[in-house]
Amino acid sequence: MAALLNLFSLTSEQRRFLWRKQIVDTRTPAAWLELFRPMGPYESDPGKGGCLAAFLALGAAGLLCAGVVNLFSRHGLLSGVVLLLLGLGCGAGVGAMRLRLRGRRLERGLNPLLAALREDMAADDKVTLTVDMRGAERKANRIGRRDLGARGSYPEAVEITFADNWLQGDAVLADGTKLQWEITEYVRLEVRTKRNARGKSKSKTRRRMATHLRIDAGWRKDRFALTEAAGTAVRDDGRRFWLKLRRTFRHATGEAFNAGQFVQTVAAGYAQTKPTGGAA
Amino acid sequence: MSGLRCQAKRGVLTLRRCDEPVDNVCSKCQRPTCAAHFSPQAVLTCFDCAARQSPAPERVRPEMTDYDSPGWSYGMRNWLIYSSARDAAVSFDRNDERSFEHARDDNPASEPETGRSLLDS
Repeated sequence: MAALLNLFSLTSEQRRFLWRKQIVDTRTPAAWLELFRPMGPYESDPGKGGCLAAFLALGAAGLLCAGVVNLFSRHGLLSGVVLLLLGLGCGAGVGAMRLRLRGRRLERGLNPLLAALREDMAADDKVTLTVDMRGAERKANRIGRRDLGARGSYPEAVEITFADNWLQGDAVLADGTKLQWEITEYVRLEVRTKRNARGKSKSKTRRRMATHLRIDAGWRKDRFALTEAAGTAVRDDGRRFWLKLRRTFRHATGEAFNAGQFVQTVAAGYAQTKPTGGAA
Repeated sequence: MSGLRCQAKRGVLTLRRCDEPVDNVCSKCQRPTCAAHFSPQAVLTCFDCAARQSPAPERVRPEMTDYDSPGWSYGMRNWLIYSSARDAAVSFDRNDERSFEHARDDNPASEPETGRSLLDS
């Protein structure tokens, strides 16, 4: 309810993002934070509420149809109005669920990452982001499915794997270091199904999640050099030497990627370099 | 205070001078400091001096949702330094020794004692 009331205080761009859940743009970290900061109340756990949304949508359609039929019947004016109002209420519920951002990636992930970049970048420098908050568990993200056979008292079990490349970006830090990154969330769902004594189908879902960070970091050669322990850079474009930084983090249930993991990965790259005292 | 720039350091991964307009001087180190670099735990005390006064028993990562609160980036930087040092597989080398040959440029102890505030013109 608070999220619905909060909707009126959002800008048209913020409302558009909540509806579409995708954005590609280049802005300063502070401007990105302005866009994403009020989105916290709209975040929800992954994979929750899908059945309820479908139930509400069906309910809304049914109630609206019944309301219209009753309105045109001889004695059904009052009941028709009541059914229409109930249908509209269900419709509002469906709309509210459509606005949810699945996966809790903003409050602990993207927003603190932008706050860290705001500290580490020159005031007017901009970050390019490609954000997709539609959630990992979509058909387009499905990368694998296999039958697991019987599991315990459940005669059927399937495992479905999703890969969601939800954030790409690039930025140049105040010391001239260039970062290009991709964040991919992997979800492995294990759905076990059985029928109870009355013949009703019962299912149990187990979710395992991990985030893979792919960061390419390029340090300016006039300001930094690789340490002896680091070996050789994977790429050298003349102006910068580049390192590939890769890490995978497993999540506990209900958790998602957090910005500390990103910062720690980049810091591991910095640990392989040493400043050479070039002009900043 | 007009014209003076904050002498505190900013950044999580990179360290550079803040250079925001000065709000006041730190009561301990007399360094010109902007409003964002005063610790909320002590009156008119910068984050560096507040940390020296009451060193934390262990460096805990600041809560990610507090990213807008003052001192969040300072806490992140400290946590990063501590966790990097703890996770380092190699011990100190010649580069680390070399860093002790020069005084830190943000060390208030190395400021010349002129007997008056840095803000006095």
